Amino acid sequence: MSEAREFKHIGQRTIRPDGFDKVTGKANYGADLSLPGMIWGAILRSPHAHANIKKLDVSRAEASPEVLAIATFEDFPSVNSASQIAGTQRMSLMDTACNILANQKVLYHGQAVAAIAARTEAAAIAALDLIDVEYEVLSPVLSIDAAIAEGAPILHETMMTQGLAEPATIASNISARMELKKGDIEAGFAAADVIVERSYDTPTVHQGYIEPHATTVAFNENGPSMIWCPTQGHFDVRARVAQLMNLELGQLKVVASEIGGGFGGKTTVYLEPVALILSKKSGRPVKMAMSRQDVFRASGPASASQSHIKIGAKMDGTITAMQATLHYEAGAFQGSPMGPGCMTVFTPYDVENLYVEGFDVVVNKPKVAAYRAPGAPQSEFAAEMAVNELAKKIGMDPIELRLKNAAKEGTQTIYGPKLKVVGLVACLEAAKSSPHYNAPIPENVGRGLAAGFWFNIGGQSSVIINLNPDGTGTIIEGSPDIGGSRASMQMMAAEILGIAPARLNPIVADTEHVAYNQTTGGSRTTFATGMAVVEAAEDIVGQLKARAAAMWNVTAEQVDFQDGVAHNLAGEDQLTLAEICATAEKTGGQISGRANINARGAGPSFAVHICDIKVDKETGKTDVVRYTAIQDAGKAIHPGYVEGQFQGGAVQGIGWALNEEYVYSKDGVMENAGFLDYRIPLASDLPEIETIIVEVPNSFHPFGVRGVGETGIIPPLAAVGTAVAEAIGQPISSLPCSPPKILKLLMPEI
Amino acid sequence: MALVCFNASLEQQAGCASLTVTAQNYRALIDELTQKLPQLTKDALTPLALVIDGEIVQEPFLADFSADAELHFIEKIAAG
Repeated sequence: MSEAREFKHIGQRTIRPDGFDKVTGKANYGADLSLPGMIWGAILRSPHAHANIKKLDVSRAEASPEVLAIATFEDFPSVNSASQIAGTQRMSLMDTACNILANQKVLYHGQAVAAIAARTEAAAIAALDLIDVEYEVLSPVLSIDAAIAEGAPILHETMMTQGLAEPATIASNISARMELKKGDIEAGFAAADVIVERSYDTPTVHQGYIEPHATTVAFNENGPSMIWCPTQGHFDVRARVAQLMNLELGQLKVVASEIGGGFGGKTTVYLEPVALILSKKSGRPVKMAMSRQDVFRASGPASASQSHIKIGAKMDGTITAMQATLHYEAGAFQGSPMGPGCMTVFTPYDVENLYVEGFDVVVNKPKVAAYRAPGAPQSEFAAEMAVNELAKKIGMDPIELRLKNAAKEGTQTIYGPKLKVVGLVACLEAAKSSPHYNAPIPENVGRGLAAGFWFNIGGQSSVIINLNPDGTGTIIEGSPDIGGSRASMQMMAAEILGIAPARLNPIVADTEHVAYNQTTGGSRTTFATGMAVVEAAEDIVGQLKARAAAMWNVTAEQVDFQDGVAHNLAGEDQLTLAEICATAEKTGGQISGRANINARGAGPSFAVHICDIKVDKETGKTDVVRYTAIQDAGKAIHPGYVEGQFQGGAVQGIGWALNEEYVYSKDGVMENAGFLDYRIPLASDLPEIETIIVEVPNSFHPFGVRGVGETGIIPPLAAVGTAVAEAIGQPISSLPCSPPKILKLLMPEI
Repeated sequence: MALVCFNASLEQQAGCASLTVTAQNYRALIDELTQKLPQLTKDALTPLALVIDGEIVQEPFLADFSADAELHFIEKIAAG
């Protein structure tokens, strides 16, 4: 793509097409659908974090006239060990099934054991008492240290560590080991003048989406059964439910409702298969919804982690070696984002000698799910904290240190490939010249800075654009809109077709009305679905030229199409898009374009954040007083939504760094399963998050898009951690920097 | 000849850090690798994405590459 290209619609701040319905309450979310004859399902959850199920007796429930259907693990027709990808985590179908309804053993407090359907929600909940479960309670394993300790209770008796030099022979809570290396790590440390070595940990945190999981399912023996749910990927909901229930894909139709946040947490299934079982057994549509407690205790949070980082450098700031040992909690079943954590940890740096070892560890907590840039915030927090400590140790500005070692085009990453054109240096330069970085640091305030990297992905997207006889049209896509993507699709199509964006109505179609689309995640939608939109629009332009040629009795090659108008190069004639559509009846029928692509060429994204924090040294309370997020977007299709993604990622990262954590009792019960006690940042807690959009175009996308949803959550953890460390004059190695932890650092004697 | 570079985890299975191949498309690449390195199975390689000269190809089944390409196998990236 040409960097000098000028756009008519791309880069504008258009009105969000779904905005009116959302702010007026007209939009329909997961729990909003009700069907005639609908009943309610409720889930019986485990009161123990680790226990064998000695007996599961549903006979009293079966005998109750209130109970219309019961579901247990036995209702899954067949499950095998074929693996699937849920978010970034690879998970076997058997593990997915056990996570949805426990099989012989419960592995976390709140795990679903059985479900009941009744006429009302209250009746279904009350009837759960009619299910008799006898448990043999086992010791819970609640941390990485506890899980890998000698003699630790083993969660899965058949789980052997994969990735060891020699095949494992005994069961372990470590499901996998990964090793990545580049250069000669020992030689790198030998060449260093200074070494920084420190351990860090991060807590289990939740994505904190406001809308709980919910679904309404109507089983249909004679046609597709319907599943309505808020999801980031309704095609993948269809695939997983079909696998679990041994159905053909065509036997299911999944409709993605509007979604009240996902951030990776809505890339898997919890309620949908259970509701389908209950609907099939009862012959009635079934609605199910999680409470906020259920969401915290039984949906997938982000991994807690432990990281050990060692960095060697010359006194001039040249980093000679970087080494990491990373442990990630997977929750009750294997499959943490340890892999991407290992791959991203040092990617912002062009360093000759690197070594990373990662471990995936199961514990008695909910199975983790994806959360914005899964795995990267944890590992890059540790690396960035250590880099900041190195900068301080050698007396170098943290931006200058990063510029000296910054990854750039041609840098060989630890996971293998060399980077193409990337925008880290541009982000660092933007940070260096930003008003925030050049402002003096106020009294009693600490300032921190950190960088972040995420790959971004492409993948499969399908789009149909139908034009109407008056020149308006519909963009039919299959990517649930979780961040304003409908507006971006409108703008990209409008740019190609040369018409106003508002003349195109974007809709997210169900699984029957558009071909397969991968999940909305990985910062792929504006990139990949956008490419499909562009291709479908270009398909239409080709047809418009042919139709105009037919009207003028010339060849299509004699027609040019610019800014929504066809020009007859063999004469003076012109036809607008609307005029061509109006005469389409005469030239072959109405006009429709389509594209089904598997997009390649996703462009990685780098970000740099700056944070100023004030700490009350008497109470440990922290206040973010200024925050700036700088990120390479490639090209910002809708700058307002790009800024929104930067701000959203920053705020979630700030919450992760300052207050958010799962607090467990010694029995493995999450004790703060509600937004009163699980403290996400509110608007009133934070200043306006300042943003700087850097645009280093991705040459593989027609408009230069990279994708922006993930990277913004990575830098805040270390930017905040460093700012707090500067404010209190103590190193920070453990998140969150909550008041009790800060007070303990300031007053270790209390 | 295209150069195939293995990360440390694959290197354990392959027994080498890199090797050159005559293949110029994905299917030929898998055949050539599993012939030259029988301990490296199709099952180990086909779930992975292929990086061709720095470009991550999540589904490389139909991918072509040049005779002097640099190739890496990496975990498929999905994310949130």
